[in-house]
Amino acid sequence: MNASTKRLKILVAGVGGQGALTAARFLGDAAMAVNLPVIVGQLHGMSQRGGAVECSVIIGPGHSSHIGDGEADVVMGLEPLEAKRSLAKMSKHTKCVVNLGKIVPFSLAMRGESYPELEPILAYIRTVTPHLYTVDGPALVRQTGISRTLNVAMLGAVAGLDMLPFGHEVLWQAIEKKIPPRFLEVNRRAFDLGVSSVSQ
Amino acid sequence: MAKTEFLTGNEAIAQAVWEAGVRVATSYPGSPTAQLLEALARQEGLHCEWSTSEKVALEVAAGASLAGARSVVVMKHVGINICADPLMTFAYTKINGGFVLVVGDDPGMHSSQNEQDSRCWGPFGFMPILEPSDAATAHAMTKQAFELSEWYQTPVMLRLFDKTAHMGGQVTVGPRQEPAVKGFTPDPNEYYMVPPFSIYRRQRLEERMGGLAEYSENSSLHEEFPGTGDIAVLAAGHLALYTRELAPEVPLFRIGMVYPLPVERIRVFASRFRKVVVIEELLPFIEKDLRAAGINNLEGKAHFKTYGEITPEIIHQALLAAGLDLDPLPVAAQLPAPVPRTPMMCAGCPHRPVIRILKDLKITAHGDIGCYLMGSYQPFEVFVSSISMGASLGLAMGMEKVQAADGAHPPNVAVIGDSTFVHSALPALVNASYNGHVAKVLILDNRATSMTGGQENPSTGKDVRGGQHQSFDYPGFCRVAGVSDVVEIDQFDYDQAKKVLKEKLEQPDHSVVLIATRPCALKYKIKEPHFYVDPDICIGCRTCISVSCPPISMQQYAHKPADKLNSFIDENGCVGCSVCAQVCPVHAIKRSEPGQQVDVPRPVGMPAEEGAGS
Repeated sequence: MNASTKRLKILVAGVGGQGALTAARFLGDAAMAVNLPVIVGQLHGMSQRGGAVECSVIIGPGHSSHIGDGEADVVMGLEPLEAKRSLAKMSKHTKCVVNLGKIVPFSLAMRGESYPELEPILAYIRTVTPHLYTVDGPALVRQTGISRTLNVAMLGAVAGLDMLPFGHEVLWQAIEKKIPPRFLEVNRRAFDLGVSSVSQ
Repeated sequence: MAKTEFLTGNEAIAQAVWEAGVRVATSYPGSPTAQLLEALARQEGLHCEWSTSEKVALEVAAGASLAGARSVVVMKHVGINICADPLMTFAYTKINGGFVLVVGDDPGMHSSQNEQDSRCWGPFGFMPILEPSDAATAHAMTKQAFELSEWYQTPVMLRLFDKTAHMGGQVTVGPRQEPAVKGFTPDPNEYYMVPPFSIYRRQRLEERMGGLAEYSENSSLHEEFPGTGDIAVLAAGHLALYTRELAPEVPLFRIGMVYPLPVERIRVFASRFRKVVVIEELLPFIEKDLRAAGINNLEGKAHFKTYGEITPEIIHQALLAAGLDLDPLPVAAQLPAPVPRTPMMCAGCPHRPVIRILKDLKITAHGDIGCYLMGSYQPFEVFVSSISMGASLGLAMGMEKVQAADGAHPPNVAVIGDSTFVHSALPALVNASYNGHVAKVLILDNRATSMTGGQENPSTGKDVRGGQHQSFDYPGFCRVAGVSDVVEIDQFDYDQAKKVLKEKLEQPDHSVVLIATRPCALKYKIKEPHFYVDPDICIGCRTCISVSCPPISMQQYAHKPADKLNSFIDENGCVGCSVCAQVCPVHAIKRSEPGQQVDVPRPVGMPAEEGAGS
């Protein structure tokens, strides 16, 4: 990426409590570390848990944190339905990384319905962009032993796309600075597993 | 040495407040500015406090200003209603130490009960208002606000939005200045706000506002961006940034001081164009002021609603309608509406059993401001009203008076949290006793101001930095206020709690305060052994689902009929509160034993966790 002209727009979509905002902040810190202009914003979301949350990270020169329809270069979907919810922000150029771990919306549970089939959700995303990368988040975090490593694993996956204007280690160092020492090892493992989950 | 940091708008203002040498910072937490004081409290050299209400917060900060030190008070838009009484008269006085009120507005009501336009307080209270666009301007404007406050001896309001408070960007930070504390010189003309002194001060406000209007005309808080064409845009805050992105070629006047406006400068600016589009959220505050000054080549609310947020898409559409030639925006894929995902109470939330019991008992409940308001949503829908902080008690009293006069005696219960109770309900409880009301009050004392992020409050007695002081004695206060029957309950003992609530709330002509005592599961990181569903006992009745807990869902099990779903508890999400197990009619939900593997079939597609059951 030519930092002086081009902007990279990353959308982080998830469910309240999954660490979407924290992940966005890590990306912002990493951009700062290599002296790139960056804006991080919350497009949508309440402070409560369980609601849909959308954060934006815009790296490169510019003014606002808004990502318009079809403008996202990268979508980091922490949950399949939430990735689908942000489909309007995607175009055929968007690279979309989706965690396959499902969080059942209460409205479905209440009606006695189960979570929709995964494959149609993914197929739906593919109608907009062919660049879909799936991450088996539940299996991946099982390997780390701590479920709260999911957002770091997904950051690893985004780094693995090699779209970011900084290296994997720059992003890891930004994460490392904000994580308590006793959780560093599991998070590093999650990050590396995330990177390799999208690499061929 | 100056360096650059990545900060949100809230953090940037906190940094600037610290750099400006502020000695006292007060706040009552409210979105979108709840994180500001928390960021400030990480700094040293100033007193920071979560005051019990915005009124007290403003008074404490005002006292510090009287003493000649710089001070700041932070709140959300509805907080100004609470502190309007001292604010409107403090604004009459000759402000001594620089005084800044930071307010967060919430167009679109992301996390508020209304969307009032705080700019109205400017002309109403004779105060200037600044509006930053992003973290960097928030930082610069905050420092400028303290200077302005001292130059013009005025309170200064700094107005934020969800977007400007939460948006993060680069900010050049500096060292802390230590302006000398000026000290206080008593002078009735300036600080005794009774007539004739207040009449004298009221006249001085004309000079203050005249001076500020002149300042605004020449201020670098405003910024003009040149462009081409005969249509220009006038906007403040993040809306100016949106415009810059959407239409960089269009001439833009970014207003930094929204009150008083630089009217003559805008007159000159507007005269160069055929038309000026005024972009502002909520009321036509800027547009009306400019029209009153005879600037009429404006188009504002003709293109924008007076409620809700203005998005870049709305601006794009308005600019096209105004006659600008802009590139079309990318067209979004046409989507069926995705399954909605609404916020819900956390796993282990102590409000859940209380709300569920109120639903079971079909009691007329008035809600207040806090997480328990989620009891207004499906599947609970238990509250008949919710208005504002502490209002539940008064609403219950008034409704009960009318219904009792008609011969009916349905209990009207006020449901209120620990922080909200101290904030605004103390006079209401005294009023109940004094005027002979039947008070039925349910205090949900979870030892946290949870809805805004779990801040400390008088219930814990801990201050914003964790220092321990006096905690509030809820039962003691209620008795002193005149309600002798005060009962503490453990709401996780579901049947017993339900029995007490039924007996006490349905007893006619009997005032009672019930205090639910379990703490916030999120703030106190409660994690007990998780519960699990035995799918061979589960009858799929969804009673557990009806307590609306995030880790409970309906799932398919391989050995059960394909058209039949049974419930399942995600062991990572469950914190072991036991409410679902207590409402399950067939006892299919059981507590796991630490260190032992749970030996029941798992749903399709959900392999067992490594180390699950521990």
